[in-house]
Amino acid sequence: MAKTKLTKLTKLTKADKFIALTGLDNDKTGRRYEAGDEITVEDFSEDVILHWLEKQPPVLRPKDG
Amino acid sequence: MAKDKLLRFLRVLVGGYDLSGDAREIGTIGGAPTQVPMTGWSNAVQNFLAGRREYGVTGFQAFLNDTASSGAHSVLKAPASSNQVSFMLGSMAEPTVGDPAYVMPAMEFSAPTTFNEQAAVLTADFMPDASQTVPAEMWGIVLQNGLLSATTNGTSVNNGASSANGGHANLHVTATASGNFANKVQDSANDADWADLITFSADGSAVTSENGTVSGTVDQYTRFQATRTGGTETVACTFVRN
Repeated sequence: MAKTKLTKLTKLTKADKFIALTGLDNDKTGRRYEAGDEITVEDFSEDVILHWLEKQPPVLRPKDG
Repeated sequence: MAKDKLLRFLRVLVGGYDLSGDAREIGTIGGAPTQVPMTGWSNAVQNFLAGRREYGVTGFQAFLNDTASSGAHSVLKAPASSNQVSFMLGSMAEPTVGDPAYVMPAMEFSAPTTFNEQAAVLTADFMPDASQTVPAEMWGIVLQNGLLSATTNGTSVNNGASSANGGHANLHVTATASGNFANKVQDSANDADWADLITFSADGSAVTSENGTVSGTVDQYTRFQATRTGGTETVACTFVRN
C-alpha cells in the first residue's frame, strides 16, 4: 500500500514508462497491449495510468519499479 | 431492468449445454442467510443475527431427454459431478447483456427420476461446489449470450460504482464450428480504456464451461471480449461481483 500512495503523490511525466501486467485495450486507437508490453502515459492518459497503478491488484507497474 | 421476468425467458445452462428446451419447472433459487437465534432473557422479542448465506438451486425439473451429450438426462443423470451453472433471466425476451443471472460453480445433487402427468422427468439440485472456488455472491449479470463470428467487444454494463471484493464469471461454450477465440471479461473505470479482468482457458473450440475468478477491485464498467482467430462460437458469459 505504501508504494501505491507514493505513486498517487508522484506527478507522471511523458517520459514515464510502464509495463502492462494484463491485457489492456485502448478503444480510442483500437490498439491492444498484452501483458509485458511497454506503455507510456501518452498511450492512454494520466488519469487512466494513475487509476491502473492504484488498482488492487494493479494492472500495470512502473518499468523501473 | 424492470418487473418483466417470466419463466418462459429463463435460460438454464449446465456445463456447455442449454437445458432450457427440456426444462419444465424450478423450485427455489436461494441466497438467504441462516437465522442464528440471539434472544436473551430480558429481550422483549425474539431476535437474530444473520449466519452464513445458503446458496443453491433446488427443484430444477427437466424432461428425461436422452439425446446423447446434450439432453437433460444425459447432462444430469450423474449427480455428484462438478459443473458450472448459470440461470439467466430475460426481460420479456431472450436474456441479453445486463439481464440478471444466478451464477454458480456447482455440484449437482439428487436427480431422481419421477413421472409427472405421464411424463418422465428428473429433478436436480445444484449447490456450491467445495471442489471449486466458492464465491461470496451468486447473483450477477449476463455479459454475452449468442453466436460470435467476429472479434467482439461486448456491450458494457454500468454498475454505478466500482466494487472492491473481486468477482467470478461463468463461460459456457454451447456450440462451435472450428472456433478459435480468446474469451475474456474486462473492466474499465471510464467505459473507454479496458483492462483484462478474467481470461478463460476455453477457446471456443469445444463445447465446455469454465468458472473464472478475480480478486480486488472491479471497476465500474464490465464487458465481455472475444478476439477471433477463426471459426465461430456460441457462448454465454455471466459475471458476478462479490
